[in-house]
Amino acid sequence: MRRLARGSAALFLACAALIPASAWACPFCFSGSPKVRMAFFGTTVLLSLLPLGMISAGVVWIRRVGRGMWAEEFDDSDPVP
Amino acid sequence: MSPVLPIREAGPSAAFRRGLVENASFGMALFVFTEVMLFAGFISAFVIVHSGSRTPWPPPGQPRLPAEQTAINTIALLASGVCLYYAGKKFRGPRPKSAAPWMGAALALAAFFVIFQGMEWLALLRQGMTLTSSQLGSFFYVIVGAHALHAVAAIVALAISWAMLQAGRLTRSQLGAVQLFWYFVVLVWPFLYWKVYL
Repeated sequence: MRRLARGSAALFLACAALIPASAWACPFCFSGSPKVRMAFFGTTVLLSLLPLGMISAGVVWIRRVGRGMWAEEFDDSDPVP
Repeated sequence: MSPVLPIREAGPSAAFRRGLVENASFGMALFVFTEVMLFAGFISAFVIVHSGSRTPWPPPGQPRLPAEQTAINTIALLASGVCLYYAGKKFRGPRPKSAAPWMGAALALAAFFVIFQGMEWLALLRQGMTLTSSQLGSFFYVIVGAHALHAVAAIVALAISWAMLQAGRLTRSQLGAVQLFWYFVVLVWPFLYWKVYL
């Protein structure tokens, strides 16, 4: 019974995806002028790259600090028993 | 093949056990990440509306934003960030309580920033710029207001940290989180100033 309900829900969602309403750009925001198109392009680049840049910076920082800590903890000059 | 590591009899050091990042700082970093994206969204919307505006900017009947006076305020905010940086350095040194004057200076400059912004808002409201008077007004109050809200929250956190420092109960982790939040408030402002005021 549960399987049938899940299958029906998946089928319904698949059918719903096939009948999207037409997407209309906001008449205020849309403009063919190069200035507006450049603004759209610039902000798309900003909003796409900013999170990736922050995550990358975080990963690089953690890697650098982690390596430093690791080297300090397991220093070769430590007396090995 | 995993490397063979020398084994310490005493076990891992305290610094190693503490981990790479303090929990409070890590949590704050995640929060700041989301806040950066919030302000990036605000600025993006503002840039698109500004570039698509068919009327002169600022719109007719709306006052010009006081960029010159706000530049002084911006310097005060940046100076506050520098003061908090030195407070952190002093706190991590041999005498943590010597950070108090630096933290107090950061707090005073931050309060100056918020009070000055409030006065600027009052002047703009008197000149007829409200949240609904124009697109500039809507964006100005939402963007600058959101920043002011963050600044007030950070000032409260700074004040609590300062009181805890005086009582000798402030930890490195707590100060680290407050510093991170305040640096975000300080560093996001020049971008807002550049895009909204200039």
